[in-house]
Amino acid sequence: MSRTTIGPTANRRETIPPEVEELLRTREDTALGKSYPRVDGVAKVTGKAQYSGDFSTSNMLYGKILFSDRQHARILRIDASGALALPGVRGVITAADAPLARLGIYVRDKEIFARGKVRFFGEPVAAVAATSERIAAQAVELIGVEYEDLPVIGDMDAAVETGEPVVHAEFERYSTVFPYIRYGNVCMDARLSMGDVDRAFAEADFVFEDTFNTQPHHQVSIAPHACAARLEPDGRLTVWTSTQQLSLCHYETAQALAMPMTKVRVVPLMLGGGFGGKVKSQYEPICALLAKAAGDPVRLTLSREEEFYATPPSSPFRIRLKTGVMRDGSIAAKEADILCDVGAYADHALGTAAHALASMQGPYRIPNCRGRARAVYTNNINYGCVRGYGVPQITFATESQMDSIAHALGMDPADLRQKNLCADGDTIVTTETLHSVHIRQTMDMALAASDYRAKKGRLGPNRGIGIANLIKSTGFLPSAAAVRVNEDATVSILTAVTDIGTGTHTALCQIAAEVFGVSVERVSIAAQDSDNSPYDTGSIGSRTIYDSGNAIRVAAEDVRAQLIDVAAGTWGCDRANVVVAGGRVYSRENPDQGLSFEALVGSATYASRGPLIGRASWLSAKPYKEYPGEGFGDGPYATFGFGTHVAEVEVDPATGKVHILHYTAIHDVGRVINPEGAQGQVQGGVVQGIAFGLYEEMVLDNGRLLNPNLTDYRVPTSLDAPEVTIDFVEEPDPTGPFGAKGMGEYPILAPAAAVANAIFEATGVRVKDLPISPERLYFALQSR
Amino acid sequence: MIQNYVRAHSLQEALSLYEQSERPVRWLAGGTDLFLKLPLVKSAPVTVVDISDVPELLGIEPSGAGLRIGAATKMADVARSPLMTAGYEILAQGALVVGSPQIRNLATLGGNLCNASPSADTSGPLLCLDAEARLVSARGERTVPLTEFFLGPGKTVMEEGELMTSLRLPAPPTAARGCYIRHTVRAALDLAIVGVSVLLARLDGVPDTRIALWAVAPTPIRASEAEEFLKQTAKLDNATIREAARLAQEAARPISDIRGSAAYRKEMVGRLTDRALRQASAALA
Amino acid sequence: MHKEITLVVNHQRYSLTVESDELLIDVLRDNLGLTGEKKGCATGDCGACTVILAGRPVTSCLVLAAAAEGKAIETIEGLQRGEQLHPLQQAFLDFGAVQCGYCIPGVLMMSKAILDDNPRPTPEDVRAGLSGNLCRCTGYGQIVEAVIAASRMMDGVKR
Repeated sequence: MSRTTIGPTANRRETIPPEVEELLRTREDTALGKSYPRVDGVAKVTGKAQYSGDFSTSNMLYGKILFSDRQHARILRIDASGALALPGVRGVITAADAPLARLGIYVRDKEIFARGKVRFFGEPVAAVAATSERIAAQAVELIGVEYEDLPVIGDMDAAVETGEPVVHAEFERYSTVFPYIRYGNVCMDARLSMGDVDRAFAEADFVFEDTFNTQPHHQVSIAPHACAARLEPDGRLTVWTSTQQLSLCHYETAQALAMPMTKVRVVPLMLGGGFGGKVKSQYEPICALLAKAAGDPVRLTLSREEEFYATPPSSPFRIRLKTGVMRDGSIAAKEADILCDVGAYADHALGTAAHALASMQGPYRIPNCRGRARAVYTNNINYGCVRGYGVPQITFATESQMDSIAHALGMDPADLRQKNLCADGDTIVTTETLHSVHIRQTMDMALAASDYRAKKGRLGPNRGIGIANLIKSTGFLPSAAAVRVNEDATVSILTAVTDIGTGTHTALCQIAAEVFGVSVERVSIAAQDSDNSPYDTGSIGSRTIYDSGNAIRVAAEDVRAQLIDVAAGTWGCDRANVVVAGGRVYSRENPDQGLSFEALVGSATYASRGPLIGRASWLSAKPYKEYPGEGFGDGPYATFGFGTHVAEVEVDPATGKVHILHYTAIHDVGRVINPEGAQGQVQGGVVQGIAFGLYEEMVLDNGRLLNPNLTDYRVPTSLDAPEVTIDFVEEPDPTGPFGAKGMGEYPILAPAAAVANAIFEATGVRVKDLPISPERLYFALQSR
Repeated sequence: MIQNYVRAHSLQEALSLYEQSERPVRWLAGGTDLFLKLPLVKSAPVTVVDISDVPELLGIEPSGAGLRIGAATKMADVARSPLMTAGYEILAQGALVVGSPQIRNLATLGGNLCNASPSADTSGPLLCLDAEARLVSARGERTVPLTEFFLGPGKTVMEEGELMTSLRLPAPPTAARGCYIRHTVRAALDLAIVGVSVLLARLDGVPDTRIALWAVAPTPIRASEAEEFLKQTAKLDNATIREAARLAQEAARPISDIRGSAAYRKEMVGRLTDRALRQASAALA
Repeated sequence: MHKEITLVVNHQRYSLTVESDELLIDVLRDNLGLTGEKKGCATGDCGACTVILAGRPVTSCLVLAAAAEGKAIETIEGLQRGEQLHPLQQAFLDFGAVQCGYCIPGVLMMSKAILDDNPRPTPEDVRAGLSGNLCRCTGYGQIVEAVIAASRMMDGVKR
């Protein structure tokens, strides 16, 4: 980290030109673009990392939830006497013990326990605290619940059309975040429009209409949900959990218990997989209420089966697309009609429908667009969101249809895409304006890396190569951060954003290190809890590096400015001429007489300024002044990332089984902070996306889940996962921290479409329903 | 739930532990199926007698012209046994796809059969190899051909107190070639949608063909009509293979479940029997 | 029914009382406080609870604690030597093979078993060997690289 090797020599006393300084920073001093090992790595490889399921404390009890085994029923009576009589049982709670509080991210429609009525198989009805897991499990079996079954709506079309039975009779009284248009079982009917769509369709040379169906898809984090809670002697509650959203989990837990946030403290432990499944609060409020009721600490861990039916996976979608195209391939108009089964509660599922609608254009310039998204209640599972938030679904539809259109026009799918790519300055259907658009580069790189042009049409029988593009918005919702420079010149970052395994804590340390020009080893994320960590929306929606990263950058710059003040005062020079780099602070006019970072910190702390602390409150995208369309409530977003995927497949025509031969994934994530970490995000996301395309499906029969296990819900194994050729367009986004955008969701968006398109090239068969199981593809091949 | 656990160190001890223990009693070999059937709370209390270390139940060794395989031999040991040659390869292949490497270090060959799942991965090869099961109880012992062993899903001819001690595999026909196909979505950790194994040999120019199917009927089965047809056909050409595959398809009585529809399974029996016969006959040529 | 048993975990002997139906993973985690090995499914599918039992990797959610009596049990807590990380652990850090980390103890124990059995595996061998360890984060690529790298670091020396 010394700058003596290629820096100016001591003999040369001229000032350092800014461009040389920039060069020095990027080549030598920078903390960015380097694969620092993850900050939690040693704890994780030694088995010492503590996940919430590993937590234990003295006198700890074990919690267990009684989940509804009915899809839709009135609760007539709950008899807990049998359970309470069992030795070792320390408490049984139901809705009667919970304050009346409705939670919900978009619609406040759900309580922590079913009150009066259960709306899905898997809804919490009661919970038990006992002295062992075994007794707790026995106790829930002894709780007698008398139900009166109600008609079940398992079909989203029926739910829309008849509106009977009504899943939520009190619907009109629920508060919502946005003014949704609501009726019957439809909890959101949103529309967006841009241009003169009818006229453009009338003038189009060709119009294509297709319908796509996607399946419920589960996160399947390897760590089941677990949390623990303890009532402290002063009446406060401490909750330990693994969460993607510490601040929101804190807020919701306090709301559910009708306690002030100052009386509830949430401590995040290591998180064994998030993917959208550990957002907001999950079972923390029930665990906290159990601890309150029992008086002793309680730990609650879900089984794998419970994970499947009682934690929120992504919804099934039906997407109808209509696209008007001119003879030369330019897209004149597009219409999308999205139907999303949110299940029993709106949860995040409603948001995924809106977000899919917002993403209907794909990375293309389409002057006339119109879309509608309806989210509808049923008695299916409580759907939520999975990595990608509705965009894997809409991307499968739009990128599959792009291929169909290319085929119909006799164009290469790559050419059709390249003809219609969006660009900087384009306004999209949400009225947002794009910047830092690098889709043309991701396409060029992907076509080259995959050898697409040479392979296309020349792979031999039953083999095919397919392409899919992606666009993903990010940069939204607030983050705050504080940065302390300690007396020993180490740096502590105070933030509530948790690292859900993606390596963001390491990357965030790199960002702070970069601001101070110090080594990454000096920087650390301070221990987190909801009492002391500044608010952060959390690790969701590819926002962590962009939003939390910007907050941390600004907070660090705040401290750096304080240090520069001190240095400028010491040397009597202009602030603008003080440079902080390479572990040193020096004057541009007199670079030999700098101070080490440590010396300056010591001097500032004790002799001139006092303790060094910087703060930032960050909100990268302010809400729209006027929301576009009608009944719509998504966005806006600060920036967009892009990518191009190319899949090469072989289809076994005798069985319909698909084998991935090669896979290429090129993304524009802005500047890459940690290459090894970024590569891991892509490799993992692509495999998860391929599984969404080919393997995974939650199979429901009128609201009952038929495959709540890892044998029949098929997460890919090491033998199923292809190697992925990965690269990045490293164009900095001027609005991101040191040019970085987000990336967590990008890689899962395109694989289903890329694989479907490759299958089409291999077989001539277009499968529009996911997953493309061997059976589905086999019968599609038979009807060729 | 498991009320009591006892470990046997010899066959004699196993049988007497069974007799002495409070009923119901279950044999515990690998446990990979048993524990999924005995949830912590919801099942009646049972005693388990652990037979995984009983020496008489372990090992693979030549026996006459054939092989004897202890029923408690782990799948991993079956899969990598140097004796799995000359026609026995299909058994090793079947053992090698069971569950996962960890499961194969627990699961046993006998357990795979006694569990009587219609989709047992080693059932087809053992049927092709004309395996016989030796069943022992305090009352005596008997030998049952595997073709008569399965009665239905989860049901076998085994009686209360009987223990499968070993499997006897006669020598496969000279220069036999086999093919093992388990059709699954994933490459590991999966259960068969359809399984087909064939064993092919030529005796005095006449094909001797054995075809077994699993996951397509209440029990694993031999496709006898297809086998008969091929016996009466002098050569294995495209047309005869197609006809044999069709006959195998007719023998299948699949159900629709989470892993596949009956219609798809039926199709796959034809397609994969065809493929297995072609591969085996190519190897034979 | 209570059972007095002795477990030998990472060369250390533990005498304890367990129920007949207690699973090895639960006893390791709850009775012995060895929470490094994880429970992800309890049906043998995910591999997060993989330990090496009598020299063989098994899913400890499908083994009764009583049945493991007297057999050598190796868990993640015994992989490093004092402060010195095992080459596998170091390689997992160096190659970015760890994300959320929940599957990693099981993956590391399986990887050790793979190298114990075959000091010079090919990437295909490693993929086959790890096919009973589900990882949802990494897509396995960097894990396979790390195991191969560790095998080279160890250069065939058994650790």
